[in-house]
Amino acid sequence: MSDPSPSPLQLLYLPEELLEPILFLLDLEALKAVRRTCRTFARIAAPRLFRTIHIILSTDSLEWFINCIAFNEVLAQVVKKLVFHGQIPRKYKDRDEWERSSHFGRPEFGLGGQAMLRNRVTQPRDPLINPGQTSRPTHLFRAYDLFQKDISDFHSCYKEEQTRGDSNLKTRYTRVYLAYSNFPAAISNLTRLESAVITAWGTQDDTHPFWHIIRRKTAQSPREWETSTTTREFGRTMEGVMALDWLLRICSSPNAPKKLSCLKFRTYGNAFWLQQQFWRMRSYADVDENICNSLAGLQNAFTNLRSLDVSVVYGIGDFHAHIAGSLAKFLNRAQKLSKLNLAFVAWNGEGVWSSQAQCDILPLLDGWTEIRKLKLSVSTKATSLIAFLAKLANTLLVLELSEIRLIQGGGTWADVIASLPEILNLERIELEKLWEFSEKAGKGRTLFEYWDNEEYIDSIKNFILRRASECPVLVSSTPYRPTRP
Amino acid sequence: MAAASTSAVDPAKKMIMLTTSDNIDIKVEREVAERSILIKNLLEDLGSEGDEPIPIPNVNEAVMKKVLEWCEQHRKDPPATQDDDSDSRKKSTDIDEWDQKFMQVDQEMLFEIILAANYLDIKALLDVGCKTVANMIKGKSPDEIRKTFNIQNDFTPEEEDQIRRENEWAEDR
Repeated sequence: MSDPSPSPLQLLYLPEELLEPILFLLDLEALKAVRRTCRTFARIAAPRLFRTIHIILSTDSLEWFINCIAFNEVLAQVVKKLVFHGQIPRKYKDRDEWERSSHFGRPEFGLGGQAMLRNRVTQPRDPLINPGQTSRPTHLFRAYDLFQKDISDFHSCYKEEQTRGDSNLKTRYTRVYLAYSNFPAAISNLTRLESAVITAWGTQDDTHPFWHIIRRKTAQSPREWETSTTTREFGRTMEGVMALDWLLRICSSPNAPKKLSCLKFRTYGNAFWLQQQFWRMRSYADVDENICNSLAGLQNAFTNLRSLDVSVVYGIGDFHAHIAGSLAKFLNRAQKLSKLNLAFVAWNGEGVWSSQAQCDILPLLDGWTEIRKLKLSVSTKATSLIAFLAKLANTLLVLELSEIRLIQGGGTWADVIASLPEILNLERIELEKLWEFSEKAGKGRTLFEYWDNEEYIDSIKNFILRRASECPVLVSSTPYRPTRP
Repeated sequence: MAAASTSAVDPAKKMIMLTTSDNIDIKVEREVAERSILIKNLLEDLGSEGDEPIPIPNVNEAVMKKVLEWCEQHRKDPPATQDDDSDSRKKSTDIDEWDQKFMQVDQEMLFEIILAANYLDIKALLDVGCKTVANMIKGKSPDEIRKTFNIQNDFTPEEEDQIRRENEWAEDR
């Protein structure tokens, strides 16, 4: 600073440790723009931009991930987290159907939202846009063409793969096939990968900012796909099964350079790690054997996890015992867990109180020796729940019970709450939407709905946290399934 | 530390001397100068007297005066807490009105202030400097950024295309 310099001080003369905090303050678009100015910025902005990678089931996205990121020696080293959005895009018969189902042209979030969408679609650097030409059909149809081309190959390839291992797939669907065959090697290249999110279903995901990129390309996002005929066609269960399965399998492999410490996944219907078995099954015995083989390849992905967030929504009758059994195997393998969110719930649970006994996953779980935080949403019995929590008593500090169903004949919340302070020494407890079945009334009822007053809930929490010795009388307030005359 | 007698000068108001890189002595109240963690630590290391001029070999007079102007304005600000390191605070590029005016300087001075704030360990001033630069970048095309900061485009056309493709699906959340 003090030395007289021949040229005035410029931005790029600042040391990199001072440029980094500046880049940290930039939004995504500014970061991308700055990366395109010169080599120095291209390099130092990369860690911020590629620390988390999002991919979806489209050939474009997978090719980008494989060619630009995973097989790029520098960028592959930057990736710490991989988010796989596994929703299946639907195929449309024609442009009319596309337009009808698209949110484009009708308010998405009210008029402001529509204006936002239009701005996104008409960004000047967007290759879809013909400058000066902003009328709806042009964009829509160009987006349709791009989308349809990609998705058609995808669907056809999947469908044929599903029904028979067709040897001609390779040549007919070169791009899709290449993307898939290179995917395992690509994942293995991410030597610093620590965290993976596999999301195959869920409306929450639809609002993730990443979908803005997709929407800009296709004018659609999963909100439209979800209500589609495709989901019926594939039983709504073909959630990127191949890729999702691979991701776990590769993270499981003994050659995986670094084991995952954080994993989050959501799946719906026939859980994704079982779907391939169901496609190919000839008999139920077949399934049993295949599942055993299949799980063996996946379980290692769980051994190093510190944090696991899993949501499995199953249908009663959809091999739910297999799903519960295999999920329990994964969970029992994750012996280093310190934080677990576990939701294992039936999508049609409301009407099947008694049959859910078969789906009580808690007795299948061994417990974890380092667990500190647990959030639970399951169907179970009071005795199972108490026995399960007792296994965690040594380390558990924070417990969140949310949407737990005590099945018919499975005891009451009064039983559970009375024993909690005896078995657990907690710092924090959260209670929300707890169901039980009243034998007397012959119907279900809930406790701790959002309209319950806070003082009442606090008095129960204080009892559980050993701050009050008397257990307040539980008000099982809301008739859950009122029988109408 | 012994209790100060009522007749003693308030130690915060005590004047100290800083010697800049261009050998200029600047007199400043101790409390103002101590916005700089570097100076604060030096004063503590040298003992509480602070009679000796403190050499600041990396900052010249013009920049030092500017920095002290900021320190004077912010002399009573509470020290930054550890919790301030949350993402939400870092991401915000809001700058208060006085600081905005203060930062209306040519680019060379702006970068000198950033370097000085970093050297003198004045985190809040460094933050304002970084936010000012970030705001100058936001909303601009690559070309506009190059023009604003006199950046040479050193990409080959192939590299430029490669970067554009890499960026295409990037999402930082």
